[in-house]
Amino acid sequence: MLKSMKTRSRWLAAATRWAIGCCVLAALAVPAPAQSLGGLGGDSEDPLRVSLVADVAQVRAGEPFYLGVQLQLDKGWHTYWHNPKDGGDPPRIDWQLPEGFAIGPLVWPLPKRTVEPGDLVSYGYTNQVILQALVTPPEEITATATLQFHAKVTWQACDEVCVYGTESVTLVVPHGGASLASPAQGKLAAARAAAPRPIPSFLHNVDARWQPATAKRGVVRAGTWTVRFETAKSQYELQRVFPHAITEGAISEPTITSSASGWTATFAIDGLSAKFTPEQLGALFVLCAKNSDKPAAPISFVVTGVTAEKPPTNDTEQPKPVVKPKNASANGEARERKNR
Amino acid sequence: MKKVGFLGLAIALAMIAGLNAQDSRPSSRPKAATSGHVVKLTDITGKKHDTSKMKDQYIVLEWTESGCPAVIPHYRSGSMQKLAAKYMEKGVAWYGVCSTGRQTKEGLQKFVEKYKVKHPILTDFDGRVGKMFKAARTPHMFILKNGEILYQGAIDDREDGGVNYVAKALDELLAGKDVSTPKTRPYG
Repeated sequence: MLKSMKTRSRWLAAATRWAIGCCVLAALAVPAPAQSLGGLGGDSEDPLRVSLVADVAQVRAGEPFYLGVQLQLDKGWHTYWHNPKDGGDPPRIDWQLPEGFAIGPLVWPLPKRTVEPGDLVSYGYTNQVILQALVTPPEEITATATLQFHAKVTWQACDEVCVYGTESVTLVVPHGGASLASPAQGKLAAARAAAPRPIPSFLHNVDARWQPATAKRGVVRAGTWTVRFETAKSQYELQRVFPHAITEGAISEPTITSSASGWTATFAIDGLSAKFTPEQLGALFVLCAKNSDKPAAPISFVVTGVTAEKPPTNDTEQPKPVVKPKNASANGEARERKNR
Repeated sequence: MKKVGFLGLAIALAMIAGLNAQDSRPSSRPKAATSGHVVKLTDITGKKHDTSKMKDQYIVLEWTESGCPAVIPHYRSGSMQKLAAKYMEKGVAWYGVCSTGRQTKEGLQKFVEKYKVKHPILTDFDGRVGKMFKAARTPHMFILKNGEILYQGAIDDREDGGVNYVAKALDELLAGKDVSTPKTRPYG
């Protein structure tokens, strides 16, 4: 009984046809022959396809389930994480749910770091990605036999050029006395497994501090954010760090220093406005277990904000960090929304 | 090797100076004392522009691409043309810059005619200036004065009735204030 309906708004089809050469430097590095734009000829030639999936085939009142937007990309194309880094637009999802249903923030799987032509760093996804959120049905469902879930998805996909699209997708699911699993359950679970978790217990002395540069005429314009943590370094290696975006200002990729007991990541921050508070700072850390026989899944977690302002006391007992791990669905853009 | 390179550079500079001399600019024009970001480019009509000669003037660089769906709405609505005209009247220099490798003067000329664009569009098809500024998207906006970047990033926050960062920064600068939001992440 899972049915997906696709509609496309008219201007977007038009926008897709127009869409050549948006990321300016992507196009300049290697002047591409005109034929390379061949894939963008018509409406059906979008490099990205959108569908809506749920991990249930039947919804039960009061029983939460996951609803996800699946983005399927053509080979060579990518879309973006919530911080695209040097440019680009992350997918944006506007949910429209039946009466009384609430939806949580988006769960973003781990991004990949790539360098686009023109030495632009980007954080995003190739092949396919599922962006999902937890839906909580009301205690009593008054609707008729089937429920309609809508998502308006605005996306940007790039290879050497970028295209935009907006698509409205709909999923129709029945409701009843029991919650039934759907065939999409496995891939939704896999996508959640590839999202950040709370700070793992094998890390110690997680510490994040903000060092503002001297204020200029009353406004702090720059500074450094330093995140440190300790663990058994024989067992883990730090694979990658992805800073979260700042709206007004910029955060660099970190400089990583390694000590006997852990790592320190230092981020340079500049171009700040008076609206900045260090609580806006965040970064996704990706660790990998060493010495394991099979390829181990990465362990990722998010550190945000700052710990106590006190300077660290070496070796002796340190104050318990008050770093709040953003939960697995950390996302600056997601909004908790409840439909009337 | 180094000497030859230097000599080549000197000749190139002499040639640029020669070209500029033919530009029939008033000789009394003050010389800018800047070693920062300098833009020397030709616009689509063949006219040369050199920001190092524009001492104490606010200069807007608007990275643009006629085929970009993030750029077109700003021109279709006329808002970019109006914004440029408004600040050019106040003495600000406004340049479109195109660093798209496969773009042509003819392509940009069509764009200029279609949308009645009055401000000059500079051609940087090899991306040299784009790389210097780390221009990443279109539109990607910069405000310069004496070689110093005073604002860089998006043109606006894309909200209905939201903030146009470039207009806000120019208003602040023209009022003798600091730019309150000097850096944003460009979209496009």
